[in-house]
Amino acid sequence: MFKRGIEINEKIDTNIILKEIGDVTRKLEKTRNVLHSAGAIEVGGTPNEIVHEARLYRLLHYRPMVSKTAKTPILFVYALINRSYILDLQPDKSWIRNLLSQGLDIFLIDWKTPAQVDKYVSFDDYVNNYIDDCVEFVRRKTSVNKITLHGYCMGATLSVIYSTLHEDKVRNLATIAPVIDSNQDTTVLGNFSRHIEVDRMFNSIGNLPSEQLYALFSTLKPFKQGVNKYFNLVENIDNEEFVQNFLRIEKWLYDTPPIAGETFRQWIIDIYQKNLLVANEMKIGNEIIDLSKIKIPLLNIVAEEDHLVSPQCSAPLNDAVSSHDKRLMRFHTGHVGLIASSYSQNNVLPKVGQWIKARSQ
Amino acid sequence: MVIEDEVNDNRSNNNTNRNTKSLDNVDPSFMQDQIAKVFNIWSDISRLPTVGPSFAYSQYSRSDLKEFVEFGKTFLELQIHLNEHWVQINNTYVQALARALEKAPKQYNSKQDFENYRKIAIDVFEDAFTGLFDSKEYAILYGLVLSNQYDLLTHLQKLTEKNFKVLNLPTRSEMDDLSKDIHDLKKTVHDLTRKMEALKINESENIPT
Repeated sequence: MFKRGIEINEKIDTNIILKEIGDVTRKLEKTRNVLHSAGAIEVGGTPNEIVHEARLYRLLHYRPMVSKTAKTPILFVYALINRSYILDLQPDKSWIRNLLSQGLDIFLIDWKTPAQVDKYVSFDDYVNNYIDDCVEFVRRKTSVNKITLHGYCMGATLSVIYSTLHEDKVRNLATIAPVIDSNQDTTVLGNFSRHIEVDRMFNSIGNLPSEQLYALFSTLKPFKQGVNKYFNLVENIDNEEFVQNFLRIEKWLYDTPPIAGETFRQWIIDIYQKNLLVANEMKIGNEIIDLSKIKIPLLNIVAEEDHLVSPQCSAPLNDAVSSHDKRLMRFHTGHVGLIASSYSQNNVLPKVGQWIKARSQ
Repeated sequence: MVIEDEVNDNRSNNNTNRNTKSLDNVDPSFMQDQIAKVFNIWSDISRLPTVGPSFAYSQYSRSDLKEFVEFGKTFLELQIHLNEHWVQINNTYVQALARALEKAPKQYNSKQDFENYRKIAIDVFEDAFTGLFDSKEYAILYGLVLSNQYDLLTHLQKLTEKNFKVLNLPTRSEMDDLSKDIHDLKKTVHDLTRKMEALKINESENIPT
């Protein structure tokens, strides 16, 4: 079975083969040098200022790029996994910059790193303290009663939960790949999440360490993305733009804070193992989360090739809410491609901006 | 009372033997009885909960030993689960390799042939490993490996905590309690601040202009 070697057509010029081998060696050496001397990788270049800060978050306000086209400001709730600069990775692939260029006013919650002492920080804290504090701040600063809440991945789920509890402060809800009905989730992450004894983790190490997240991520598309990307890097090492893109994404992939233990415990047990959210049985603080309480306009954006949150897991949100004005947008891309790619700039963001602007006057 | 009687017995026995020059004539069963009595009395004393000289130490050593045994058992379980994990990874790798070789072209005529085959091989390995990671069997095994690792840490923490007590340092469980208290306090402070802000707003709205 394994005995066959590589047979090369005798008619091929040996010099061409030798030249190819020499080229591969040169590229490998250059790759090594580039990776060694990578240094600081610039990300998140869109001008902003920190307008409010607490122990576990910073609230960023982006400077307007054009005159405002909408009265209602957007508060973006990023996920608790990896860092928020994926939304502003580089100017030509920046979700934030694109919405700014459409005349929207944007605030972003940039989560900080929880320490061991934050082990007991829960969903209740994230929703009713941190997000609510930011909403209050934005309302005061912009003198509006209601804001547009916009969330990505886990941040989208947090935004949904917030909207059920504080609908009086939210005008529109725009979610990107929220985890809603985990029974419909067909991803490897969903499979692992159903079999983790998260209480043991909570009792022994407290917060979920970054290293365990990296180990989990390495099981997602391990060859197409895990191995092939390095082949592609070597192949394109002479293309400066390709290399910079690669380094920025790589930096983001390996830059994740730990997740507060109690929050992760609730995320796994209540959402993935018991699927309480879509059943309207999840409890946050003293309140039961009832998705049918959401009556505000809803835009739910999903990626058909999402390997972290299945579109089938996100889409049931549209059926669970009571909103009359609701829309599900599906795009042929992946979880990260949905927010940080040329595809998203050309196909996703114009539609998203249009939807938000039409409901923000 | 029992101890006093036994002491009196011993005195009377000593008096009886005062005139003898050696212990050769002593009844061996008497000596055995005496040794047994001394042992029992000391055992009674050492079992006293607060003043027994050996009790605390013996309990301490016993719980240490128990923790070490549990640590060993968990370590063995981890080895078994890790081995099973690597068996599944290796089997998947070998199967994928065989499938990739089956799909290899008989002859490479150009650089493009190499490129095309690389894509095929990546797809084959991707399908094989995603199939493995998607399986319930592997997810359960992965969960067990993680649980064993968490349990090992818990045993180590319990062993370390005892040494921390000896060094008069705060233990992890004490720090944990403090973290919980700090968290609850912060929540209370946050709620009170919010209520105060709301009161201030209400007051300012009620001021007649």
